[in-house]
Amino acid sequence: MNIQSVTRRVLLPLLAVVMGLSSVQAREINLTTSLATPVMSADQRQNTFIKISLEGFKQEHSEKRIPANIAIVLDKSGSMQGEKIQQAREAAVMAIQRLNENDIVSVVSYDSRVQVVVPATRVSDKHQIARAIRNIHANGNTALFAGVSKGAQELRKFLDLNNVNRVILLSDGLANVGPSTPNELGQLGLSLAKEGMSVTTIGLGLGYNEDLMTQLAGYSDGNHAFVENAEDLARIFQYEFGDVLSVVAQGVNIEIHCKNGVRPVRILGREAEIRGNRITTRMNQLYSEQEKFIILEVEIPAQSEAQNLEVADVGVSYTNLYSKQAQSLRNRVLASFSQSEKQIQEAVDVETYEAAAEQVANEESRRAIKLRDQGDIEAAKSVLKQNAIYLDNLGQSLASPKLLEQKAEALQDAEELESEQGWNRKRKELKERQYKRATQQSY
Amino acid sequence: MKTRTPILLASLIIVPLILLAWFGVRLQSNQQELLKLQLGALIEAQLSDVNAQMVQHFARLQNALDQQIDDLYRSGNFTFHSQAIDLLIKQSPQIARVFVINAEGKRLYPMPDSELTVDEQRFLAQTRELLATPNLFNYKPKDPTLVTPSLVTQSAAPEQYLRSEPLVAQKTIPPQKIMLRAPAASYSADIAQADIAEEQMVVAERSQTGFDTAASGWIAWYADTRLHHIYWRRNNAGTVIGFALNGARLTADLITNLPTSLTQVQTDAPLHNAEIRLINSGGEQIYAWGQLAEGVLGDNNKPLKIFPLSHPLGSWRLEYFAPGLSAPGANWISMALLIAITMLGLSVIAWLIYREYQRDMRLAQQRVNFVNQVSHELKTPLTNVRMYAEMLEQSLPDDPEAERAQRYVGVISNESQRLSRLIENVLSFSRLGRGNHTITPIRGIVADCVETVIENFAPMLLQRGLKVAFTAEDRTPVLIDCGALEQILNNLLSNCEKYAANSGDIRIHSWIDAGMTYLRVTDNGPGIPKADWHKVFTPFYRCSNQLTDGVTGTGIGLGLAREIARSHGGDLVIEASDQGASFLISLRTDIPPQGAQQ
Repeated sequence: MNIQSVTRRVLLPLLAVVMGLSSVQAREINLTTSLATPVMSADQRQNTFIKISLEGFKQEHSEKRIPANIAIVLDKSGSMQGEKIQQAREAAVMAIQRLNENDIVSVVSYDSRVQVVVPATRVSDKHQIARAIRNIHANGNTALFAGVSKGAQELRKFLDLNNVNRVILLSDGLANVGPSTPNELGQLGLSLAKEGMSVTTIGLGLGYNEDLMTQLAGYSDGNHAFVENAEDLARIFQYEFGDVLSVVAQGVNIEIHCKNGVRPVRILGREAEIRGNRITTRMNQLYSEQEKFIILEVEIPAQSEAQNLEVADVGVSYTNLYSKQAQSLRNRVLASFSQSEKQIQEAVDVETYEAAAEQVANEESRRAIKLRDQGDIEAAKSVLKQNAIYLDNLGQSLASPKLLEQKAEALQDAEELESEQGWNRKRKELKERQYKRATQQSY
Repeated sequence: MKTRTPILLASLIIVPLILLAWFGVRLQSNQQELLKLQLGALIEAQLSDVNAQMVQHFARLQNALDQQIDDLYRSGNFTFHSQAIDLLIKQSPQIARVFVINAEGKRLYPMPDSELTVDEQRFLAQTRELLATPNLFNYKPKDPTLVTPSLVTQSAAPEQYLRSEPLVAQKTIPPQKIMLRAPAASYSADIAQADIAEEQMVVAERSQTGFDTAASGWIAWYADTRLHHIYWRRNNAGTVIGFALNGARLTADLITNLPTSLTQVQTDAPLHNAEIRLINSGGEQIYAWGQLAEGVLGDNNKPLKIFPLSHPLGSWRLEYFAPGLSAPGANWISMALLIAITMLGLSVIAWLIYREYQRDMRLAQQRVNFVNQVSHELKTPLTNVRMYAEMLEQSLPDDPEAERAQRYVGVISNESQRLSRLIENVLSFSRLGRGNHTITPIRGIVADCVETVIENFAPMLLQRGLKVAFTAEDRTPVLIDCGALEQILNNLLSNCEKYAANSGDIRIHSWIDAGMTYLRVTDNGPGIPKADWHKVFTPFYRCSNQLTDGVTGTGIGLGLAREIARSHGGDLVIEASDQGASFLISLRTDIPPQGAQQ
């Protein structure tokens, strides 16, 4: 009795503390893999979706934040004149207030040439940095590529894979000096991502090239935002810095190996490399308590009734910024095959299916933009309408308000697709929305 | 006379100014030329530095890639493992794709029998032609065949640009010379020879990795509107590994190697008023740096200098922009200022001279007026003297007692005549100077006028041992101003009296020919030296020699005589003669109308 009470009073809390401690040390990314349809009809070739979800662990308030290495690249071309540059300066100055002396910041501005306003430096004298930023005046052309190159160079001076390395690019105009195709910027983004940097692109106003900006952000796994009014810049910068300061893991490599004759069809929303039955993709970072996922569409060959057949094997490796260690996770995706329609229906993983449907619809929305770009408004419209029907069907059957909302969006998009003068704005909005949906961006 | 002085003075100002301006312009343009040359050399050096930097970047990249190759090769136990290459592609920011081809031209990576990713398929499609051109990787060094020409053109269409060469900086003489012919077709025939000779491959000595006789090089080729780069190396087994670089990243790296611009224009910073631009094959600006202010170039923004970059950026170039040598604008201003100051100074001097001259002129005029006045004042008493002398001469009894008085009166009369001629000369001279000497021809006989003069002069000439012999061919009455003719002859004869004393005869011959009356006056005196012929007519000029010394005279006689002759429509000239002086007087003498009196 005594012993028991002692055990209850002392040992259990102690154990809890120890357990707690160990859980702090062993904190790792939460990997969940799920099938949209865990039970499938047997003897039938079919497509289904695998969702690979990664969630960053919680960042404790008490612990030291991971230092950030940020390069702010500001467009100071002539079109930025007036309120835009003023708001951009203030947004940058305000955002820098959130950094401390462990962080490194650099500010690069560009017009037709590139100026290093603040060379990479520790954030100890915020006033001086702010003063330098407030000295930026708009003028000239838009050498976006060179600006990003120089911004990345500033990051490289203190590049540390255990820190968060990020270029934040703000532009309001078309890149008209230097390489300016979305493909080239995407290539640059890809290269920077290999070095552990990501580029967040903020498009201001209606003049920028959203394809270029999303490609650059997409290949380097940064964020993208469309800011129509300069007043919102401060807010966006705050969100962005919030994201940057909550990174918990970096260099996330995901490898999916399809088994038992399962054939990968496509990865929805993200860039991935498919070689035979192996799929590799990467994310630059995972944020605290944010879920990022990958939807993989697979084709499953006809199977006889079976239980827990392995569909795919998922391996994830990453650098845990808190433990500063490379960690890896492994998960198997299992499926069952049955003749019973009821069993199949009951087993449907609503959440996974919902996420998959969201991405499928997102891809269709992208296709609609492409068609609209080619001038085929009717086809684009019909794609969006089909999309709405698809979303409606699934929304009803899965009872998902999220999908129904997306359906309403699709219908609205179809309406607004036609207007010639509103298209520029609409396109930017769509691109941003698609990007956010595909990358599960937090803001 | 009055307008000539200002013109002279004005030219005094203008001529030095023109000279000054001309020299200024010449100096300026020379200086500009010199500056341009110096600037050109400076720019050239600057751009070639940048080029060297670029080449150096490629050299560094090559070193890094060589290291990668060595690592791959060593870790793979002297073969290339595809997993290792996969990993390399995944990790290297610079490398986009990798290929490995063995000596037989068979592709080892990406593995032909395995499934390819979309990227790999695209890459292989893009480079199919390239990889099937073994000469590019120098398989048969001794074989002089060229690469398929379709692959090798440079200038005309950028779409067909292809060049394969090692880096410029590494073109040293290798232990084993291997020729690379791929780029040869891109040059004109004669240059090509020289270039081929230079294009010698570097042999990397890496015996530990099996690359001891290996060659390496850079291929730059144009596809999909962009310049692509491949770095390749061949080991002694003939296996070629090639890295296709991430083009955007390469561009970004080149940009990061180049300087940034300053936020504020600083005059002491390099390139403070210039800009260098990096231009790609398509003529697009890749990057620019410098401190050139916006709008300085204006519309005519041609580069001061274009510098083509070395391989592997062969089709790229640097362009140097600056507002040119417009700085001399300040020089022009200072030049103009100098001219203005000179002009001002010269004008002041000219004005002072002019004022001085005017004062002198006024003074001279006053003197002339004074002489005229005096002459006028002398004329009346002289007339009286002459008149009373003549009256006295007539009233004197004609006896020997009065002979002395007669002689004295004769002298008074002669001398007063001489004086009145002198005064007449002075007055005529001043009238001529004022331009109001008038000739009034009336009907008369030339010989009569001449004879009157001779008669007047005869006593005086006699005293000096001279005698006049007059012959007249024609005694037709003509229109003549007898007073004028008398004045001319007076002057000539008084000259004879002064200079040709005791020389015997003075011959005067007159004739009329075609409305002109001619008189030739010849003496036997010492004559006038030919050098002085035109000078003797100059007013106030007197020949200076022992002959004239001690002889008084006003120096206006001959000039006056000629002027009078001229105003009578004729002239007075000196003629050459064997002895003495010979003057020819010509006068316009019209035939008087029939029946006209006087």
